[in-house]
Amino acid sequence: MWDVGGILVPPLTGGVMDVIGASGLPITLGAICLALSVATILRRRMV
Amino acid sequence: MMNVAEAENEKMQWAAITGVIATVSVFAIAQGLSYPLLSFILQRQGISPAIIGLSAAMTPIGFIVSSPLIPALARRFGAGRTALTCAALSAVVLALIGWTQNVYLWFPLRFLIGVVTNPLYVLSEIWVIALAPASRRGRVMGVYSTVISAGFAAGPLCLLAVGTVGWPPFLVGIFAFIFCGACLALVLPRLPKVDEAGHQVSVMGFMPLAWLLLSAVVLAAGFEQGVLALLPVYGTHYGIAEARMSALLSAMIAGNIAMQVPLGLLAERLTARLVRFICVLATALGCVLLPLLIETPLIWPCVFIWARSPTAFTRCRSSSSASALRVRRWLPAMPPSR
Repeated sequence: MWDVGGILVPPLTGGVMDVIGASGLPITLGAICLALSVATILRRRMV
Repeated sequence: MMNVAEAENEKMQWAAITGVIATVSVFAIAQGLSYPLLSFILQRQGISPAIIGLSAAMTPIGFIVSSPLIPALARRFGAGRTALTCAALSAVVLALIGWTQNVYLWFPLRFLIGVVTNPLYVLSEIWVIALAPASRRGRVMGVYSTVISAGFAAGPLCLLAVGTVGWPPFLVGIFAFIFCGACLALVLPRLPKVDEAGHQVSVMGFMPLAWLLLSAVVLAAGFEQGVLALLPVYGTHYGIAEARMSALLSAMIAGNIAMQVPLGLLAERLTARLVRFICVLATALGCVLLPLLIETPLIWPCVFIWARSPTAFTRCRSSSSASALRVRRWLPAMPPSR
């Protein structure tokens, strides 16, 4: 699973950087954190 | 007499564990060096960030492709011979990367780097788990992970010393791979035989049981590798020197090592889920602060904590799960780790 992240995220982040410039890096990574937070909250509600 | 023999045997076991861990940490230095080095070179060639990210993704693809082949290779050629061959091939592939300096040729070469380095990590982990006494296995694996992370952090630091232009950084990596192979050859006679056992553990079967953990691992890994591959590109947009960006990456990985124990202790006091939640929020805050602090000295403490947050906690848990999967596949007779 570690490798799956390595395959998906760098090209995605690079693509966003191509479109919106350097700020694509923190924006994409911030969105990843947000997704993780939402998943944690959802899981908490499900348990 | 028996006690003396047992003590001697234990001493030899610890020497073998130390040898394997030291060897793999040198290997990690070479890998830690190659990620930012190749990004710096591609950035100088005017390659777009998307292609740089895609190029960086080739190595994990190589990891995934090579994983199912490792048991067969170890069975056919022996684990020791497989690991030694992989160390030699890693040096050759890195030399080819340094020689070609072509973004499109680097796609298959970076894929090959993933293919040939993965067996060494997998086999070394199995050796260390098999050699470590059951009562101390958790601590030994903790040291193993920490030393590898330290090696990985030292990689970008090497770029501070040798720069990112020409052959010197590649020669450091090539020498590290050769040194690693030589050290491994020395400890090889003391390493246990690796046999594949009948137990098959499916990751897909594990998925419904721990989907949040696994998705956290995917995102945390993506975060870490995205930063390693693209933070150098990000820095050049702000006109930051390559040496400073290399040092920042090292600070980030050093934070990775330093935060593992405090986060583990915090998880014991609070709950694992709460700590994970705090971690991702802290990382999100770091993403907001990154553009504001990148040109100030405050970026140092920021990156030290920043990239650590999602990864440290998930890595602790995921690596133990991954180890458990690997070990159960290879060493079924071993008692479960505590």
